Amino acid sequence: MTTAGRGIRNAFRSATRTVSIILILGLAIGLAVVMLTAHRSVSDKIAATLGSVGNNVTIGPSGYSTGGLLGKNLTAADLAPIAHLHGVTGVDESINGAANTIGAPQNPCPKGATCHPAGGRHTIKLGSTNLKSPMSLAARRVGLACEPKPCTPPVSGSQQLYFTGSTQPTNPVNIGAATLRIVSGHAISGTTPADVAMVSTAMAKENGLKVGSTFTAYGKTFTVAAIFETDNQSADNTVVTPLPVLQRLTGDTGQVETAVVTVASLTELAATTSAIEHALGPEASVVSYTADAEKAVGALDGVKSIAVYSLAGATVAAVVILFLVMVMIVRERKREIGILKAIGASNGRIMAQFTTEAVTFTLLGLVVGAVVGVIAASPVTSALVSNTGASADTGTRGVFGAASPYLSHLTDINAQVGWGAILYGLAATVLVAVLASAAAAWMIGRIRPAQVLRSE
Amino acid sequence: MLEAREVTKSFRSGNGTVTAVNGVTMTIADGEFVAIVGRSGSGKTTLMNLLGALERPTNGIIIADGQDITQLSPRELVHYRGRKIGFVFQSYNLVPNLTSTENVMLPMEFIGVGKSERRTRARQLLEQVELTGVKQQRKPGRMSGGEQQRVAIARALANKPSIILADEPAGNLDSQTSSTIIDLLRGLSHSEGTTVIVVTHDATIADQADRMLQLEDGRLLPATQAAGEDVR
Repeated sequence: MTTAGRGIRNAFRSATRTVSIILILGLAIGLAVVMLTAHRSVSDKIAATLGSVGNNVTIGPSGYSTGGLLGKNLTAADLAPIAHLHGVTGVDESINGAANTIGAPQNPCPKGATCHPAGGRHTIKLGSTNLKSPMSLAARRVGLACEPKPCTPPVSGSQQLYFTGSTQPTNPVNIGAATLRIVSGHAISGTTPADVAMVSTAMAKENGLKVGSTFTAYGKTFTVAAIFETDNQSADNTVVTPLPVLQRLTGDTGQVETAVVTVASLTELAATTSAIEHALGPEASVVSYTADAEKAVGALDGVKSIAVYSLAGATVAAVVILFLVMVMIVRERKREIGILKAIGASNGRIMAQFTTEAVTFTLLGLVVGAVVGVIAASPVTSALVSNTGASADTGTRGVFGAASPYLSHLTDINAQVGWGAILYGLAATVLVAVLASAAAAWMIGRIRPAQVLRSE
Repeated sequence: MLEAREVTKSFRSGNGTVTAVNGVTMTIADGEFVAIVGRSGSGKTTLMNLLGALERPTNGIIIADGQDITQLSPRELVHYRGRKIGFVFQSYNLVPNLTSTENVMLPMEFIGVGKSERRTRARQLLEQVELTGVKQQRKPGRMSGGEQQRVAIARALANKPSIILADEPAGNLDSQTSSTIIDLLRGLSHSEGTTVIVVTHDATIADQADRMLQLEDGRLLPATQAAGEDVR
């Protein structure tokens, strides 16, 4: 039997004590694994959320960022200087419209009133289309508002589709989504005057469309050039066209409702946002979703802090538990240590034996802790997140009056104990064992065999 | 040869200093079987610990095979205890969760003997002290005092030491078992040429030694005086 073998065997000298030690250590290590997993999951969520926002700045008419009544649309000429600002790598201009499905109840905007979606749009350019909405009945009732009140909104509960004309039709931000992926056909050009469009898979399925199919809207016949998928149900209810086409059909030629500016890097975002605000003046509203996202994920930072403190506490608890256990064991076996020294064992060899015993306890504690972690990581993380008040509603209302698409599912965190957590746990376990054994080692070094044997 | 020159060992006590061994000078030849006798508290065990390098003397030197062990470094002391000394204690002091064989293998592991060689020699030694079969796989808790002391003697012999220091080896044993153990030690002394130093207050055991040294208040009495006294 080797030194390590004796250390392992000694760990099982007393079954009751061994089980007790392993259970207590297991709970402490389990808490550490849970907190480590919660921290990593929340960090990943924050990174993913901030990452999905990208380096974008959205520009709209005055009032756009506050959700109130909007000022007049911007024009391409207004936006032209932005492209030359430092840090700007692209400008995506877009305009939005809406169309009632043919046969749906019509309720035109009252005479003398200005109509807009409840979330706040400049003017509503209502058309009609032969398409059916893929959205559920409840989801269709987006409602429109009108000013000045009291007035009757133009459409209530009808099947309404949205149209977005964009210079970059594949930019998901234009339709209120975080992702947009072409699944069939080819993306349309954002500057072509041709009556082509991209529709969502849900829209295509609802209307039996495929690439090359046609439909009518605003009195024109459109050809489906591409079918896309998004992560947002409202976005699925939107038809994407080239910017000049929708400008022409809505009578807003040369006008731009929103522009999404891409900035070279996150570090330049703040400075570039300021430069854009300065260039456009008070007639434009400049919004960076990154700021919204950072505000929204701030609550998750609180979860990270709780996780870090709890992780540290659990680790310290494990060290203290094992430290006391090892001190107790060394005191109990002073005589045996004296004998080992008397028959030729070095201090180092005896310390190695006791360290092995401590490592055995902690490794078994890690096994118990991993089981505890697998069982408890997800519910504990969910409880921590829900108790912080983190919510998608903390974001700024976006183009269609909905919360920023980047911030949806913010509290939907998948906390699973991965190999990373286990490996971290393993490293921490060895560290805990070594730290806890240090005091034992010091005591072993001070034991004088003659002294303990004299007490015979 | 083992030699002590003017060896003194003092301890700090609550009220002052206690001198357990006081200016002991003696020489023990190789292969000699020596009994150190004296009343309780006469310094026998302290002298034994000094000879076994478990303690350093306050004054004086101890020379074992030409080497002054009082000048050895801690690492050299470990080496000295592991290779040159075999200890036998009154309470046997076996490791409770190891079998007889594993207890005997222990000192050999400390000096780097290979596992199979350790196991073979341990079995041979246990047979030499008349422990065979399943008794070699028993743990101390399931053995009698005499059997445990035999294991302790086998363990003391494991590294073929030149000196065996036995502190009251028969103190916890009945007279018959005690006689067997002493016969075993004396036999080893004569057959293997091993120096055996037995600390005892039992005159029967002391009478079987080649030579008897008597301690009184930490001082070694002259041989003539020691031989004529009742050591109990």
